[in-house]
Amino acid sequence: MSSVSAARLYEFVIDLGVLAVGLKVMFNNKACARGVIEAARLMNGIDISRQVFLHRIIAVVAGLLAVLITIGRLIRLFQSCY
Amino acid sequence: MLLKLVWLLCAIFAAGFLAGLFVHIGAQAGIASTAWFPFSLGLFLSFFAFAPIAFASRLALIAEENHTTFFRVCSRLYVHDPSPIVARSTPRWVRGVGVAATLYFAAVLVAFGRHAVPGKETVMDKISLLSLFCTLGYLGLLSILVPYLRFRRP
Repeated sequence: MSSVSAARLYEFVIDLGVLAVGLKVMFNNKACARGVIEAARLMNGIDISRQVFLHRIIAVVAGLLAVLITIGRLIRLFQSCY
Repeated sequence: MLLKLVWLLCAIFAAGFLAGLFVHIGAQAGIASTAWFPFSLGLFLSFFAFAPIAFASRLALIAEENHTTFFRVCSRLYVHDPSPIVARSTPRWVRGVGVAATLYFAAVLVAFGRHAVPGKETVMDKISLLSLFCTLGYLGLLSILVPYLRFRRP
């Protein structure tokens, strides 16, 4: 009988969600960068529309970090279950 | 109605900014006592309650000034929309103050990390950090709403 408690299930679902967001940010980095630049313009009035490349790199790195960390967490979760 | 809300929000944010500054200076100067902790925690938590309201108000003001709808402005963040839209900018000196305050926050955070390794932090450290975060946060919220205080309906 495996000991999958509600807390572990909750953790698993949250990790899957973060993994999905990380993958989305990583592969859809152009749209993310444009969204961030537009948000900066709307919220602060500053124009950073020439920094698309920089923000794409930031999106890829952030998405990759999220993916790696959540995969690590998922592996540890499975190891603790079985 | 929206303009009155913005004025009210600006008054609240200015009060929050001054309170955060006062508590932080008090904590750094050693005047503050540990009894101030719930107050600084309340300031910190209320920032997260006010921030979405401030963002939504700014987007609503932008929508009104550009003769468009709130959701149309929101959707620009997700869907590429080539139509031009004007957003008022924060004064340059306010942005400069924000950058300086952020650098100061980073310095305080580094100092905190060096002398208070996990488990060794005191209540005064927490008060100092929380109130500094509030000062910065309320300054940011003020800076996004202040350009729209003199709003003329087109």
